[in-house]
Parts: sequence; C-alpha cells; structure tokens
Amino acid sequence: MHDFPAPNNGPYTTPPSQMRGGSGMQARLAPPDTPTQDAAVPRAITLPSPVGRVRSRPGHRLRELRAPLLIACTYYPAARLGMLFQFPHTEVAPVWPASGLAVASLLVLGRRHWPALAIAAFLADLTNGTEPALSAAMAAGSTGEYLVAATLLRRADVRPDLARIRDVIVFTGLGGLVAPTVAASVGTYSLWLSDVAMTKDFPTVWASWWLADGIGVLMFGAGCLAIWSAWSSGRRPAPGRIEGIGLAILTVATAGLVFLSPTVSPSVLFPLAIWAGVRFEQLGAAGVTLAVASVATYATVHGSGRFSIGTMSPRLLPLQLYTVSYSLTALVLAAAITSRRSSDQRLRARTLELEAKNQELEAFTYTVSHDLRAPLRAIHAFSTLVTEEEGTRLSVAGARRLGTVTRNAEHMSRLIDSLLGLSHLGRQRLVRQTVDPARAARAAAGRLHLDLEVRPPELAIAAMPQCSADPVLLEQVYENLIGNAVKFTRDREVARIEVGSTAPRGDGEGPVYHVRDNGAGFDPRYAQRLFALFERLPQHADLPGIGAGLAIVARIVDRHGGTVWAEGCPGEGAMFRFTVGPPGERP
Amino acid sequence: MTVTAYERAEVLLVEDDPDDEELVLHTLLRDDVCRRVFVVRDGAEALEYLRGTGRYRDRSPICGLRMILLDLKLPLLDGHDVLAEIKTDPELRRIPVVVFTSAAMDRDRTRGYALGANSYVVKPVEFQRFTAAVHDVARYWLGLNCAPV
Repeated sequence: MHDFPAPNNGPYTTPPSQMRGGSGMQARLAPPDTPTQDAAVPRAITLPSPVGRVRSRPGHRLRELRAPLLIACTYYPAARLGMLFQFPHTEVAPVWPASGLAVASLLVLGRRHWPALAIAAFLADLTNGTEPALSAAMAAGSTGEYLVAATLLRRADVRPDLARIRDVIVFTGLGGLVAPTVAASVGTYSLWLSDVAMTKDFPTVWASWWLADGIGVLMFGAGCLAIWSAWSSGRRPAPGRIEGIGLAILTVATAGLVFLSPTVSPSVLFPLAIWAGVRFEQLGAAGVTLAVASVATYATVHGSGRFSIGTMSPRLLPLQLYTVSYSLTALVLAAAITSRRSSDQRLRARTLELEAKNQELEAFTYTVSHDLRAPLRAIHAFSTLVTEEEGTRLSVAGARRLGTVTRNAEHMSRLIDSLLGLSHLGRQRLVRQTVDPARAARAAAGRLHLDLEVRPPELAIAAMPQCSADPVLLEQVYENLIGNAVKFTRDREVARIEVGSTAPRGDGEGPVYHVRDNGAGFDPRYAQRLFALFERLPQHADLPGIGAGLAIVARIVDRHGGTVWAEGCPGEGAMFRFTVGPPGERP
Repeated sequence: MTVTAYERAEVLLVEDDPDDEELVLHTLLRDDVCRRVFVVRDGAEALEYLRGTGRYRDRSPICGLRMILLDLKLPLLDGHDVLAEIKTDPELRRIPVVVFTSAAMDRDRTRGYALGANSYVVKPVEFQRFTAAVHDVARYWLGLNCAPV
C-alpha cells in the first residue's frame, strides 16, 4: 500500500564550525572566519533545466520537478533550523532535523530524488561559509547516509507509516543508528583532511555527528512520516481537534516547566507520550516527541533544566538519551495501538465477509430446499399414482422399473433432508449448559422405541460425569449413535449396547463418552470414512440408511470443540467415542 | 375437473405449479374432503379474486370461503405479499390462511406467522405424506375448525 521511494539523500552540510554533532572541542576547531548560523537564508536553489524554458509538455516537466523542488526547499531550511539548536558560541547542535526530513522524503517520494538533497545540502553548507570542496564532501557524506538509510529500510520492508512495532524498531536501528555512521565518517574524515578537525578530536567529532543525525532521523523522520501517512491515507486521528490542541498546550507547558526548573523530573512527560500514542497514534507520538525534544534541546543548550549540568559536552549525552527513549516510547506505543486497531478492522472485515458467505450459503440452501424438492415431489407423486391407479395394466418389468423411480425419489428426498439438516446444524446457535449425558442417552433411546424391535437390544446406560453441552444436540448425538448400534446388532442373538464414559485422556480435557455395541463392527482401515457424509461401507449396503447419521454426530461434536472417533473390528462390534470440548467450556 | 364456480368456493388454492395443483386437487377429491376449490396461479390474481377486482370485477361477491391454501413462491406477487395484503385488509383478514410451501426455512416460517398466517405446512416430498398433509389440513380447517361468523 505504501510505495517506497528510493533511498538516497543526505545532507550533511554544515560548515565545519557548525557541525550539529560537534562537541565543545570541535567548536574550538572552527576557523576564525566561520560564518554564523544566521548567515544566509536559503533562497536561491538553482535546479538544472529551469521550468520556464521547457517547451515540450511543460505540464509534465513541472510535475516531474515538484518532488525534487519540495525536497530541496524543505531540506535547506531544516538544515538551517539545526543551527538554531547549536549551543551558543560553540556551533554545536545536539540534533540535526534535516537528516530526518531527508530520510523520510526519500522513503516516501523515491530514492531517485537524491540529487535534490545533495544540492540542498551543498548549498546549505556553502552559504554557511564552508569551503566549496569541504561543502561538497560533507554533502556527499550526508546524501550517502540518506540513500543508505532509505535503501536499508526498503530492503527491511519497513512501511513508511511506522504502524507496526517492528517497523519502529527497524527504523530506529537502521535509520537512526546504522545509516548515520556514513555521514559521520565521511564528514569527520573530510574535516580532518581539511585540517579543520585534529586527529585527537576525531572520535568526539564523529560521535557527535552520528548522534545528532541519528536523533534527527528518529524524531523528525518519524514526524514527517506520520504527517505524510495521515495526509496520504486521509485518516485523521479519532479524537477531535480540541483534544489535540489541549494535548499540544499541555505538552509544551509541561516541557517548559520541566526544562526551566532543575527540580522537576523529566519523567512527568511520559504520561503525555502515552496519551499522544494511544489517542493520536503516530501523528500524536511524533508531535509530542518533537515538542518535548525541541523544548528540551533549546533549554539544555541555553543552560536550564535537568540536563544542563556541567560543561556542554557532557550535557549532550543525557539529553540525547532522554530524547531517544521518549521518542521510542511514544512511537512504539503508537505502533502497538495502530496494530491493534488494524487487526480489529481486519477482524471486522472478516466477520462481514463471513456473514456475507453465510447469507450466500443460506440462499443456496433455500434453493436446494425449495427448488429441488418441487420436481422431486412430482416424480414421486406421479410415479406412485401410476403404480396405484394403473399398476394392473403395467408389465411386471414396467411396474418394477416404476418402483425404482419411486424408490430413488424417496432416497433423494432423504438425502436433501439430511443435507439441509446438516447445513442447519452448522448455523444453529449452540446453547451450552450443564448436562447429564446419561439422561440425554435415556431420552434418545426413548425416542428410538427399542421395545418395538423384533429382538430388543440390552441397553445399559452407566452413570457419567456431567458436561457442558447443548442438551438438544447431545441427545441427537446419542440418538444417532444408539440408532446406529441398534441397526448393526439386529443380526445378533443378544444385542448389547453400552453407553458410558472413561476418564479424560489428558490435562484440560473432558471425559471421553462412548457408545459400544456387539454388532457387525467394521474394518478399522475405514474408521475415518465412517464420518463422511453419505459414506456407507459396502458391506453394509443392504442395511437401511443413507450415511448421514455419523456425519451429523461429527458435526455436532465438532461444534462443541470436541472430537469423535470409532474403534472396532469386523464381527466384533464397534465403539464410538467422543468428547465435547474442555470441561467447563462456555460458548 | 372439479373447480367450482368461483363465488361458492370453500377453498382458494394459490399455486403456480400445475403438478402441485393437480396433486392437491387429486387428494381433496379422492378423499372427498372438499369439492369446491378455486385455483389461481399467481399472487395478483389471488387478490383480484378475493377483492372482486380486475378480471373478477363482474362476478358476484365471494361467500363461504373457509380456507386459503397459499404457496409462497409465486409469480408477480410473492406469497408473503399476498399474505400481508390479506391480513391487513379488514374484509379479508378473518379468512384462515394456510401457508403450503416447499420452503422449510426457519426464516420463512417466522415471517409467515409474523404476517398473520394461521398455519404453516411444509409440502412433503413423498406422495403418501403429501396427501396425508393435504387431507389433514383440509379436515381440520373445513371440518373441525369453527369458522368466524
């Protein structure tokens, strides 16, 4: 759903003296004539092939230039913004917002736009008074960083909306930790080559650069991506504008209080991150992080708040760590909330789909029920009528054949009824309650009128532990199983049917109930096929039935979350066993 | 065969399937339960017959109708619509309506009763059970049941 722009970019443009990551030491490295941060406001961003001169398909060319222009025109001010955060008189900035903007724009707009970043980065440094060669080197390093970040993030399948926790973690790791090493290395090396940085300062300069860029990616990158995804998806945070404004005011006010007073703990700001993440998701998390980090950075740089202790250099690390952890908290929380919401949405969509399918199935069932029955009724009725009224005039073979028609119509009618019954069973609501299976078995046996059998079977129903089941359906199970047993014991001198139970097979399972007979039994190879609809074993073809009873049993047991299986041998009877799901299970 | 003058019918059979029509009439005649049956083939005709409108405009009003045997799946005007019309018409609502249909769905049954059906019978597929059902329904509504005066 999101397209990933090609990664590219990178801007490290600051003149040596204005390196955002620079430490106090680095500040001392600055050449005396370093321009100040307010030097040049970006205005002239010259792009190749000026729009006005393009004659062929000017609209098309204009559209093509939109993205690079946007990137360059936002990158340049962002780079200058970084300089606002510099410690006074040191030209050291603890955060470099432009890196975030650059990574986000390559991710969203495409890596192919990296030249726009390179140009903007170069110009930002150049207009800040950096030597052209050094500006070019640092711009190359920065652009490399952004390209590496965007490429890695794309390879790692990070979605720009940062809506999954995984995306936030990978974005932090690859975009905020790995990629900035490129710009830090190239930049510091360039400074060293230009004799701006001395060898002993190399690690400090490198680390400051790396941290400032990483935090820039994490905070501003996430912010840009959040704004972009809110804009592109058209989805606005559920809570209203008033709550958003309230959150913003409270955040800025609390952050101000925290960072202007050395006694108030910055941890009081965490509930605001939770509020923002939970209610406003990515947009809220990014906004609150940005606000808190800006106030914190500004205050720390200017000597107030919890982190402004000691000299400039040691101030940076705690501030940066705090910013990172605050940002991560908010973003991860937002991603968790978004993931949850998306899975809820998916679930709702799935439910709707299932309901639609169910309705379709119902319509199909209706057709079967109505439209198949009508012609079948005519076949049965008129063949019966002819037999009844014209039977004497038919030949023996004719009468037999007509009887076959009638018999098959009857069979088909039963098949349709079973099919409908089974379909109804699947959609019927399960009403679970505590049931005594022995009672259900007795009721089922009563309905079977066993005493009317030529040789009534001996039916023994043992006491059984209670279970949670639908009483009507459990009776149906027993009716089908006992009915089956009666059918398969009819040729026995003394037919015995035993209904009982055994202990659960394992922890968390309910008792195993069974119906055992001493009838014809079956070949264990076909044990599973017994439960298939309309499946009848060939050796039982002469017995009445259509092969739906056990399929119905299987469906009922399945709906209860239980299992059913059969054990037996030819000539030695059969035992059907089932469970009705874990004990105490409720719908 | 046996369809009598429309205004004297005891049973109105609303049935679009000629096979089912023949089977119902066969049963009623064979068992001699009722000889005065009028048959219409669709829902619109049923209402015209009952109200004496349309193609039945010039006939004298009906009298002595004791049961409407109504199929649900009908052309033009569905059986449910016919049922609703009958049961909201002050002149017709007292006539017992027996829904006689192949539709065995719970939904149809619930809807039928909600619209005011007096009875709902699913047409059995097997002939013996079909004739028994027709016979029982006719016996009950024409014999046992006391019609409103």
